[in-house]
Amino acid sequence: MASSINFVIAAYALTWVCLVAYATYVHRTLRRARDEYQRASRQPAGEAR
Amino acid sequence: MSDASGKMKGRRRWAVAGVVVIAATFGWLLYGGLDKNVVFFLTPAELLAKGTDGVEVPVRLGGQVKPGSVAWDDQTLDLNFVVVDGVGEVKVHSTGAPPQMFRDGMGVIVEGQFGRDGVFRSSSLMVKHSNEYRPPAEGQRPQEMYKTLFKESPK
Amino acid sequence: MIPPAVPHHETPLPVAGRWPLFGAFALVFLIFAQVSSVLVSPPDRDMGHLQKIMYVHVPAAWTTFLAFFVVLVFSLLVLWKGRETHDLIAASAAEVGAMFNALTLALGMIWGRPTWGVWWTWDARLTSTLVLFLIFVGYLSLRAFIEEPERRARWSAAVGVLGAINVPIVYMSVKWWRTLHQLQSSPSTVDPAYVYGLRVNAFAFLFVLIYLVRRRYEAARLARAAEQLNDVAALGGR
Repeated sequence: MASSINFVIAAYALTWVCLVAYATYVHRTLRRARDEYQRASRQPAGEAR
Repeated sequence: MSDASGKMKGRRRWAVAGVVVIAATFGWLLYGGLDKNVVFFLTPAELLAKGTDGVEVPVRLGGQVKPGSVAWDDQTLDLNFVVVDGVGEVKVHSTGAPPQMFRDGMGVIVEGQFGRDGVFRSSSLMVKHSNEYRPPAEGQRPQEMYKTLFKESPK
Repeated sequence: MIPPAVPHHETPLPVAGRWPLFGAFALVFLIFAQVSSVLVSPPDRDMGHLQKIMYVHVPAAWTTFLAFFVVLVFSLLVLWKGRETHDLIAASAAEVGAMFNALTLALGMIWGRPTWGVWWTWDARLTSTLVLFLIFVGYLSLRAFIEEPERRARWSAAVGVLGAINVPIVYMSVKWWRTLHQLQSSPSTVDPAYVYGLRVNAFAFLFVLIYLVRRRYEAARLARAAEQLNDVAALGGR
């Protein structure tokens, strides 16, 4: 019984670790993409980097 | 852009590798891996029907645990039971305590070899759960059977 | 405020809008779904408390299928219309789908060990689910290594369609072949006591899926737009 509960806890813990880790990655990717876009928008077209 | 051409070549190589991985996966799925698993297990009747072809070759046998057939020796860890499919029945010998859902009438799949003496020697025992999920009826304690049969809980 | 930088035929750049709020809602709803279903459901007569793993494993599997269905639809649109927007939606759904696919496999292993007695076996359901995962890992690595956007879009659309064809194979595998994995459950095989948990968690996972795909797509569009602006700048006065 006790060992069953450990498997249940492991399953829910893994779900949260997986979802939180992936969501964090998405948010970081989004923040970087937005920064990069804003930086790229500021440089006038026609001028070399 | 000139510094990118070397990088491009490397990337193309990776792209080819990616395609190869996908193609290999497909090929393996179609001709290899899944083909062998199309018949994941034989029923007792099918195993018996194979006659000598089914003897002493690695095979999986699936069916239900015949009620009342389970014999467990907690000294030698020998587990004997009979697998039935409604048509045939095969005696199975296994060692070690089975998974916790193992009990009379439960679906099981055993991996091993069918001996000439008519006993299937199992090296691995798996419990096949149905797609039914029910709370126990009033007073019903199916898990008790496991506990009374296998006093020590398996790891 | 932000000048348009994408080609004229593309849809406008996605903005954050109220999506952060939706994300917070999805998070709260997932917590509510898990807490309420775990507290409400009685132990199963065979599995005891292990039945509760159903509330994460099954929604994860459904979410995987749904994500790859989105890949299928938008990959077909890419092949038909060749729009970059569709390509980036397909890519976002593929990445999120691969994550849910991996989660489904891992949760299945955690559930299999105490119930079946094994972490893994090569039956048709488990094998085909692993193959589905490998195909989408292949899809994502293919995307990472093709530089040129149009070629990347076409190649990955082809792989996306071929990969998504496997979803019905995975779904039907338990009917077509003998497997250790049980058949799909249905309301007739699942006691009403467990149906609530399955439903509410399926919706929670659906909201999480929608949120993640949308934000991943937003990031992909912004990254592409920045790339295009930089390319224009790098080309100088030409």
